[in-house]
Amino acid sequence: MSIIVLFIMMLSQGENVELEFHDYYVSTTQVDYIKKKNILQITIRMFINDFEDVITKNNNLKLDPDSNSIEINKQLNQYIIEKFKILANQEPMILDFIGKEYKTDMLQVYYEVKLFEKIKSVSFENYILFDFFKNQQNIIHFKIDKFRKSFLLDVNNPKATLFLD
Amino acid sequence: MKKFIYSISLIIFISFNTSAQEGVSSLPKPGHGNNNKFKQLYEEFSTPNRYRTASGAPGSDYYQQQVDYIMDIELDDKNTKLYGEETIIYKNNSPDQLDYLWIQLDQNIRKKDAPALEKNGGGADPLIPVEAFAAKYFDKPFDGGFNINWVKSNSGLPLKYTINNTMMRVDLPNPIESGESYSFKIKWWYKINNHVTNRARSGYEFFPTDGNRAYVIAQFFPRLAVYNDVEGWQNYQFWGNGEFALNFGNYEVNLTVPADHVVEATGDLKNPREVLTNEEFKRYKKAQNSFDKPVIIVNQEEVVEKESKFSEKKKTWKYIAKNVRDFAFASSRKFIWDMMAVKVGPRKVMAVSLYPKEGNPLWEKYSTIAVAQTLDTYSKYTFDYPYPKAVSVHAKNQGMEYPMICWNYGRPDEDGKYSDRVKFGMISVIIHEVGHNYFPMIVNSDERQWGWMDEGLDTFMQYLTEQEFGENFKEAINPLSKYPSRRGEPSKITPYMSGNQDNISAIMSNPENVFQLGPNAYAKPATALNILRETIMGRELFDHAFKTYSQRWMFKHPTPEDFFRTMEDASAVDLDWFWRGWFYSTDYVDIGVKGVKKYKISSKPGPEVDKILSAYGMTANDLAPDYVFMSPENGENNGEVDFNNSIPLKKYIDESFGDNSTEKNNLPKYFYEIEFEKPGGLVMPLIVEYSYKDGTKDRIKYPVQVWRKNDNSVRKVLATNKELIGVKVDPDMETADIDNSNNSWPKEKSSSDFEKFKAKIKG
Repeated sequence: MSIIVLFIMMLSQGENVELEFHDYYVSTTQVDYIKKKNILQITIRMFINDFEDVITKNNNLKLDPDSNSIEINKQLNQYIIEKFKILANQEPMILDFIGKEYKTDMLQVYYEVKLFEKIKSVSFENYILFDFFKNQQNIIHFKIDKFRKSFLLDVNNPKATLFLD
Repeated sequence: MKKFIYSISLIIFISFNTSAQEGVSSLPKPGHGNNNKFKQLYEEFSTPNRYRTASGAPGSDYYQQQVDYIMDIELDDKNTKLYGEETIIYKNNSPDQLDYLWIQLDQNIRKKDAPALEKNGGGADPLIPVEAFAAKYFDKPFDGGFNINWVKSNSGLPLKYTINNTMMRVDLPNPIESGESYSFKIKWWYKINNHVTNRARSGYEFFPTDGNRAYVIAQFFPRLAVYNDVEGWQNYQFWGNGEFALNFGNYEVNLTVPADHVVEATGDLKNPREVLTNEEFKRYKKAQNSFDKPVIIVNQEEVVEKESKFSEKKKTWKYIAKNVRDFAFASSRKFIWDMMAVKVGPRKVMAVSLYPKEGNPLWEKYSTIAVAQTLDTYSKYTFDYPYPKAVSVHAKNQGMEYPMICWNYGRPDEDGKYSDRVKFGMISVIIHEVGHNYFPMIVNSDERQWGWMDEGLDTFMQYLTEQEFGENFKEAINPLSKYPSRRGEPSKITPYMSGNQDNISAIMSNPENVFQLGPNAYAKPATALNILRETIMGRELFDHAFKTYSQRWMFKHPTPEDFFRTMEDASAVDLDWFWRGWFYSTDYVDIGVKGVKKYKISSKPGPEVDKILSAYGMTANDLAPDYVFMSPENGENNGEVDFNNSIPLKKYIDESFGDNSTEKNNLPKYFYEIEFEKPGGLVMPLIVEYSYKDGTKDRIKYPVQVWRKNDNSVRKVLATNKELIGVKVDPDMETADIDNSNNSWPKEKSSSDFEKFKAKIKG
């Protein structure tokens, strides 16, 4: 198997002159391609308090424990599908919301994507939390069989494409 | 839905071709240097000398400079300005003559034209919140930084000085000879920044509802740079991430603030009677002997009363601090103040908290007990806390440490409610920042060069303290059974260590140049130490070595090598391989089991033996009669071996054990060859759990040295009298293995969080 990676990347950090304890904003997204079912399993991990800034901006919802689970899930899903895109073979894919759970201080959100043909390329666009933290970095780990590739996306480079053949 | 246009700044083509064959050649591979993972660190380490010994202890000629300060400071709350006049007494304990002194002007990082503002790259933002856009392109930068009124000798003569960014050179009229002291004075002032909007370590928080400010003030006075045997003068400027390198000394500081402010600072308060009301003084005295619970000196009611009255009068709080490397203070009329006494070894230490009412009810409940727990646990593993107090001050959004005093986040909602996350975040940051008293305030490493030396060691100790806090304050963590530590456990570092190598730095990097300071300087070294303690050295050897390091370098300035060397010297465990892998490289752990072969005892040599024999021009007939032949079973027979297949072996057994059937029965009758693979670059002990058909399990820990002659794979033979049904590498996930899919034989389908969650919601 030969895999060519087109990787668009440039590092940039915010202008915070001083940096202190936990002044870093990172989300991690694990994308596993499951060949047998021709689906992508997606796990998005972010700090609960980072996402709480999103959810409390316009209303008074509280996470972990949830003040209103149905409403939070609705808003979480709305936010993610607006900020996180997956394209397979250049076509935007539909993200199916599976659910979310809390692990210590992390929020884990699960999505599934059904693919309809053989996957030749996959693109990611990740704007999660860029609207709140100028230092936000979003990491994507992509896994297909034994092959792994990671991308570090930030506000200047929110997009990455991977060609598989 | 908005559309965005992306700028493609850099395109990297990476080609993977897993099917490529290595070229066939009759020539041997090219030669190579010593690239063994167990190679000693002679090339990385500097040669030991009389300042720093090969054992990792201070040498016979070890020296450090002493710098004492006498300061008068005034806080102008109305105009948010800070004024100071200081006398510096510099004692040159080095063997060298000094022609000039370098002084750190850290506040200069907030000058509007500071180079640090332009230290990062990054193009236009395709997406930016409106406030950030306005701040970036419309707002004028805050214009802070030191204004130096004058620098004078003790006799009043002006001294020539040159400012280079965040440092100032003072040229001396006469060199300071080795062993001599020199005293001089500096007068200065600066404009105080808002630390919340500036995300800074020092400054004020403004409370719009009552118009008050809470000040947490640090890096606020011109401080001598360190001169020592490894750097000469510390000449690495303050760029923001690399923190501080500071001298020990004694401080006498008079802090003049509005009369209705409550102050906490590094050092002993010398005039409580002058600055406290009678009632406050009574409570203050009572607290000195309250060992069971904190005593509130200034309560919330009294604070609310003061908040609307802005006193025009001033008061001066006088502090004396001995043998500290810095001085910081907090001041506000909004501060509630509580404290209790803690017994640390033979001494009494005050655990103190200072917080605006916005921190309640969380702060009065947990801050002071978290301080007390920190003193207790850290003292047990290092040395008895030597200072008279430890203060935790509530500041919004930040955690930052100074001698005897630190700033900590953790604020409830406006209605006073808080989640578990806010609570544990607050307790954790208090433990972390109070813990910094040990590293680097007392074990005084150079933070400007090595962030991990204090952050990593402190985060490691924080983990131990959090776990003890959970045991001691069960009601505080209810309904959890153990404290939810964010860092320290091996499984928590694997996402970072398995990340894109282009964005990971070795721990041995300057804090300015790492991509992610959190995992790099805090979590990874803390996890590495935890693994050393639990898995590699064991608690007894580790704890003794760690304590030895702490005590050797207490009130001294260690380097990374002093730590590495001491840990080995005090434990007789060679750890060069561990430092090389975990601290000097970005390698990761991935160890797995590749396959299992069962062996039988055969009457005739198998094809493998024939092959060996033919290489020597021999046949089986040339062999002496006392060989045992083993050959792979190929899976058809899972039963025990038949000793009768080998005449010499049967003879040996009969002669050795005769009619003793118990001993005969206990002989191993199953022989397996297990092949382990190591796709990861790091070597680690090989921890294996063998499971048998009868339901029992054995755990074998093969030493890390098993990898020294083959870095990729290793085979081991297991001789047992039970049938093997499973092999699992690193069953307790204690080595930070990044990929568990190859850890089991037969292959276990490892389910991801995703699959577990999906199964759960289905179920």
